[in-house]
Amino acid sequence: MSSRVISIKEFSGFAFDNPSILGALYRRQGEVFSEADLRVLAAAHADDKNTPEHIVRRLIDFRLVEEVDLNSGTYRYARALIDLHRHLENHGEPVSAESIEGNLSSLAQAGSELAMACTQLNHAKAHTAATEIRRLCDDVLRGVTQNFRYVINESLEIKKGDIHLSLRERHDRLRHAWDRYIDPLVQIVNVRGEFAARVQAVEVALLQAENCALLTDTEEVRMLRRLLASVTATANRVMADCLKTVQPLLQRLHADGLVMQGAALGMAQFLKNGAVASGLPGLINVVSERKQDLYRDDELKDVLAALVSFHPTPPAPLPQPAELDTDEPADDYIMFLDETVALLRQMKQVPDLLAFVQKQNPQRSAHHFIRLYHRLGAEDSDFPVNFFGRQTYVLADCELDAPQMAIGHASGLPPTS
Amino acid sequence: MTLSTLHSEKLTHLPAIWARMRRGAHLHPGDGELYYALRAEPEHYAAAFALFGLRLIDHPAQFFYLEGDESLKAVTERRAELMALAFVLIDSANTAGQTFGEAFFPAAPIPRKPSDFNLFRTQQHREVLSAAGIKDNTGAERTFRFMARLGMVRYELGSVTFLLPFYRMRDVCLQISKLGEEGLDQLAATAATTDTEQEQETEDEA
Repeated sequence: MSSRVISIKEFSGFAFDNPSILGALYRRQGEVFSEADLRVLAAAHADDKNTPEHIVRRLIDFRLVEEVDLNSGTYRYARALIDLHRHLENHGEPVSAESIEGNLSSLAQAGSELAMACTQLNHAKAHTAATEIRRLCDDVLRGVTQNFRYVINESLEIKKGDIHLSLRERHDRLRHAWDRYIDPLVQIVNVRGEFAARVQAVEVALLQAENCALLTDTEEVRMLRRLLASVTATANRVMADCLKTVQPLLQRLHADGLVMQGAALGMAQFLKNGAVASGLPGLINVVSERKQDLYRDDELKDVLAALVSFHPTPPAPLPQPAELDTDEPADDYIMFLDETVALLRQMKQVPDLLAFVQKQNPQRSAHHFIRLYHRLGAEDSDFPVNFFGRQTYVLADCELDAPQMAIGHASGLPPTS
Repeated sequence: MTLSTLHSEKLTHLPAIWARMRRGAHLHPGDGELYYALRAEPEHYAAAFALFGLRLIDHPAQFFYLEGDESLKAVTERRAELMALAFVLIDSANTAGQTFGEAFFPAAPIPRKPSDFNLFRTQQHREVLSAAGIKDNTGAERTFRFMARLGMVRYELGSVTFLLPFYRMRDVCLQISKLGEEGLDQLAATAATTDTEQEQETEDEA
């Protein structure tokens, strides 16, 4: 291992020329590489200016990869660089959705170029397209990840409440971040499904190029595949995480904004109309102990016990006519009514119905006469009936005080049925 | 549920629950066995309360309370006091940039004395509280005691801790927000009409 001092300028120059290999090493942080492994990895990021050997030498000289154990010949991406990556990721500026969408379009374009190179069997064009695809994948990934981290950081700061902002300001700040950096991505990734469709088209072109033997470097092809898969997976994960963590906070802040607005409106109404006259107390239904008819616990228990043990029983049936006087047969009672009605129809006038009928049937009891009254008054209502004063009638079983009922018809005989 | 399916064995805690809830108390998990008895058989208890014209409400924020018709409600003035205090508390939380949850249900709640809330700090708050009859901290203490009776706060040793049923005041604010200024003016107009009718009835009776 070289022990010469590396200037910051040298390191920056290397990092500027080879960002993709540093990104690849960061993504595989913790993995142990031999020099041969590093060379394979570097080959995928090499170009005319930077050969794989040159890249590996620089990685080791600049101590961008650290030896796992002294003289072991195995390396791991340097801890300090992992921390640097992490810091840059967490504090990276968000990328506009338009820029990500632009990169995605360019990626689709590069995929088309690759497909065209397959048709033309043009090796140079295929390699240029593959390099472009790699660069654009990195850009899209970085954009999506940075936006996610930006919005998550915003939501954490807002959630922690360290910054002194009104609820409305907190809501507006998160809403702005969401609308600017996440919602357009949600549209591309989830709603319109463009993201997956475009990446898939590039994957197809890549497979085509491999089958045509235009891209012979298997490590490069494998890395591109991994990158493409990572782009889709990352975009989906970011969207899912945002919808799960940031959106509920946004909704909560929105709802709380409405609560605060309600309180402010309520106060304004109290001042405008007076507390009671505003009608607002009617919105809260709170019961209160009644001053009258208050149930005591033992009374309540009794009531409930009675209710629980209550079993409704059908009401007793009303007595039937035949049951009223068990000594006489039912047909005798009916015959009495029919015969009397027929007799009355033959008579022109009866000045006192009850006296007349009772005289004809002295043995009959009061309920027979009441039934007769009912028959004449309701069932055979065509009888011309008039009432006068009150009379006391001595019947077989009781004395009956009733109005005197007269039957008579000024215009002739009662009608026959 | 009908009377024939009302089982007294399911209503083991009814007297104790009734004793609390008839006075307007809301029951929440902090009330222990009374809350869990209700939680176990809400339908049976609801059927029992329905016999007295009361509706048992199971709030999504994990508490129960009773609703009744106008004649069973707490007097309007007490409800107005409750609302005024809640409005001021919520508005103060907003000024401090806190959500409802952060302000009243922090991870580690600290009991606070009524005077700690600085209820009379702004002119607007003073006027709102005064409109409901809360003129000073003594008035605020009376309202906090009423809220404690309702189970919205714990008021012990002169200190207040908010309890889950205070979420009802959040519901009220949301409802007000939904009504908007136009709806609120209409509400005030309806209240005025009802008052006039009641006054007329009182005069007629006299």
